[in-house]
Amino acid sequence: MIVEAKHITKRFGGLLALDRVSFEIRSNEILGLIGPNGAGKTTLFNTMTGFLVPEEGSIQFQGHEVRGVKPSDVCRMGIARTFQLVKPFGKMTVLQNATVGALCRTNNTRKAREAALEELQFVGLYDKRNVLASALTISQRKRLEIARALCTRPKLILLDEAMGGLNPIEVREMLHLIEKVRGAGNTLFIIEHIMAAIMSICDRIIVLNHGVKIAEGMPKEVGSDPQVIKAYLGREYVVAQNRKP
Amino acid sequence: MVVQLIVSGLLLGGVYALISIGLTLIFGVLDVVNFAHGEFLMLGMYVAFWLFSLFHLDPYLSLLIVGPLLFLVGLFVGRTVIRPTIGATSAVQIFATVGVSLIMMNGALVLWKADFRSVPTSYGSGTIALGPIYIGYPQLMSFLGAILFSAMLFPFLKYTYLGKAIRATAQERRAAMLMGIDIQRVYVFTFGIGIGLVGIASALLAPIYSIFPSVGSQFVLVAYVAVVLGGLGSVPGAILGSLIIGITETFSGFFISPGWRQAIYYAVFILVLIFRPQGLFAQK
Amino acid sequence: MKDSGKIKWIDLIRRDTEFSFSLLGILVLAVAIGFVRNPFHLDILIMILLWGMLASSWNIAGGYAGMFSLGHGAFIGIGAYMSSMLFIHFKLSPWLGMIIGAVAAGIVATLLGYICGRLKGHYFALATIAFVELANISGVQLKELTRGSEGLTIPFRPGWANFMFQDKITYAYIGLAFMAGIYFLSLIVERSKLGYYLVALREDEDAAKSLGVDTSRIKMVAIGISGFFAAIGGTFYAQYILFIEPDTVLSFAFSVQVALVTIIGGMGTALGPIVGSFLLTPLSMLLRAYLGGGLSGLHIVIYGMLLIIVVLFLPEGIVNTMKAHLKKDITGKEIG
Repeated sequence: MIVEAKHITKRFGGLLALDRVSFEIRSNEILGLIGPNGAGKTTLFNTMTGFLVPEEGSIQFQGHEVRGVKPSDVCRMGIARTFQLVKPFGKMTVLQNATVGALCRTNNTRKAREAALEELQFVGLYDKRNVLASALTISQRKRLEIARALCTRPKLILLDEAMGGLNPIEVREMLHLIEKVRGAGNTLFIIEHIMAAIMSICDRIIVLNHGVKIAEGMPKEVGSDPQVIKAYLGREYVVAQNRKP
Repeated sequence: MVVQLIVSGLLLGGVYALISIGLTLIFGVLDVVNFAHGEFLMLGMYVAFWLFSLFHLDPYLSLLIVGPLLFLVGLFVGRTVIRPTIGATSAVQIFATVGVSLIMMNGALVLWKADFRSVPTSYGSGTIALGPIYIGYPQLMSFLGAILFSAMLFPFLKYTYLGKAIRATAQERRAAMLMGIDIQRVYVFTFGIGIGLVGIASALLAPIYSIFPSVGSQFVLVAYVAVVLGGLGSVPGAILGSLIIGITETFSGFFISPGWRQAIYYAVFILVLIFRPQGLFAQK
Repeated sequence: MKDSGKIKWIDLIRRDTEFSFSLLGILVLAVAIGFVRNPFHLDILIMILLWGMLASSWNIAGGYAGMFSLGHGAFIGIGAYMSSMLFIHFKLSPWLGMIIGAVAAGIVATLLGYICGRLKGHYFALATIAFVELANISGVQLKELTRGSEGLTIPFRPGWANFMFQDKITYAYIGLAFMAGIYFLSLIVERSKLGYYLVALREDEDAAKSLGVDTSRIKMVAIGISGFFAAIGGTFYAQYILFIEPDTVLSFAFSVQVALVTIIGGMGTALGPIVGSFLLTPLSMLLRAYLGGGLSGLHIVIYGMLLIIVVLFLPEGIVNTMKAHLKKDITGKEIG
């Protein structure tokens, strides 16, 4: 268990965005986070990475409290994240983007560059290393975000809708990449809307609705949980699932 | 004494309000900081001056010319210089309006020289006495004019199509586009309206203040502080902010040397920007 | 932006076209200075070098880090006034005074970076304007120290210790040394971890944070360095012109000028401010000389028009636009 989160609560004025959310993340697992829009998923990510400070609760990462720690320190502690709307450094090349990540662990730009090249190889962007980030397709940008995050040598990676905006082929490639990232020893916590993808790749899934955790468990359990179906999946999904051979 | 200061301050604030409303409107809708705002004021004052000198047109009448004229000037500048910079980096936007400011201020210097001009109307220094309070006649007229035109702005924004389009664009640009609003035109029109308001203010101020090429800079500083106090983009905020500034100015003019007075504005400005950037009155 | 870990100068010359050309350019300039006889031309050259150095310092925070300051006049003024006052009242060598002034400016700049660090884009710019105006007012009001708006005249006692010279050529060489110094510093920063972090900060602050960049600290470092070198330029100005007043060295006008030169030349690139200065400084000085007299202000009108044209059509600045074109031609594929 590398993350233990207890009773995370976050308010925005009168709005309760997260209501005593507790969960744990186990080492080397892929944990999924699903729920309708506005359920608080990205907010949860933000509290785990220092972009927001929860009013209550604690987030223990490998025994250290992460709540209230500023984002750059969270990164150094070993938690990396990507963003729902990709944020490439547009005027830098792909290689330079990744190098920024690698500089988290070294002060030497040459070493950082070498590490960056490795990660670019890993995600399949090596050929594009000298292309300006602003010239990449969305699928490439998503992969760059992951490469960049990997350069910071994280132990836990939070992926925020890594498959958003991708066509089916790209989704499959992304799934493949995510599995590869896990295979390299990382732990992943991913937000996704594409049900087929998340069901197939996650070891466990947490479901959020209106800031409350309404289900937690293996994909099959969660997929047939009536509360989850009511709040998010919808009966059509169940019917579709049951129709499968 | 205090009451006198407050009254004078409110009158002063009323005029600042006209200048500030334009500024906040432009900022709220276009998200552009108009560094040339003061220069448009200067331009309007010169126009009022020439209309007075050449045609003996009273500024309170010529505002009906100066206002629309500056509105057209605003449309022109908005279309040619401002509109292309929307969405560009801050650097580009800032320098576009700085460029306009430089051209206008120095253009005025070249054309009309640095001499101070004035519009000596017959009622120029007349005062009205309300009990122990003295109210300058031109100050009163300015204040009333400011109230009149601000008041006209509200129904415009609320009920006309263009007004609604402006508010929609200020609130949520993309949604406005999706609703079929031609944002580019909204931008240009809003800029024009903002400058038109400045034009009215300039005619109202002409009987009171000396006119010279850099007269705008002093007023624009005050407008900025008022706008930031009231919350960038909020018209009621700009009005309230202006009234507060007006009163602050009369009080501090009384107690503090004029040299340091401006320093207080700047200090307040920075503090508000840092601690309460949404302005004193915002609910968010 | 290229990177090479530890700098090996020979490698740099061989691999880096920009670096070699600049080195060459500096040598050419150094030689050329010796040949310029006309004092007016020398004056222009010295001002080019001065504004080149001032714009380069602005570029570190404004160009690389995206901290668009319109208040750098404050730092220039701190440098100018500190070294001058220390010289006049305590007979302290302006060389020492320059360092003291630069450190003071650096500290003030760092504080400004701390206080205004959270402000974005034009909000930050507005705050810096207020800041320089505050500095200006202080300069005017604190008459006992600064002689207020009358200005401060630095007594002319030529000599190396006093950082004052009879002949302009020495000023030119010193100016060249300073400008080259800041230029090479910018190159070094560009290729270093700090440089990467500055640009990351500028391009996307949140993404930078998530990658371990302590953005508040980096902002303070950037503007601190920037202020430090701007102050050095301020002292140079004082030692050359021998007269300083709040309306020049503590002014919004100077602040606009340094930003302007960098924008037109190219932000976020070491050569940008220098190219900008070579273009704009002679232009404005010549315009002022030929048009200033009878039609005072016309040169600024032209200046303003040029500004708008560049900003609308060449927003990246000259050097960046050229780089983009060059990279496409040489390699055929897009390169950053």
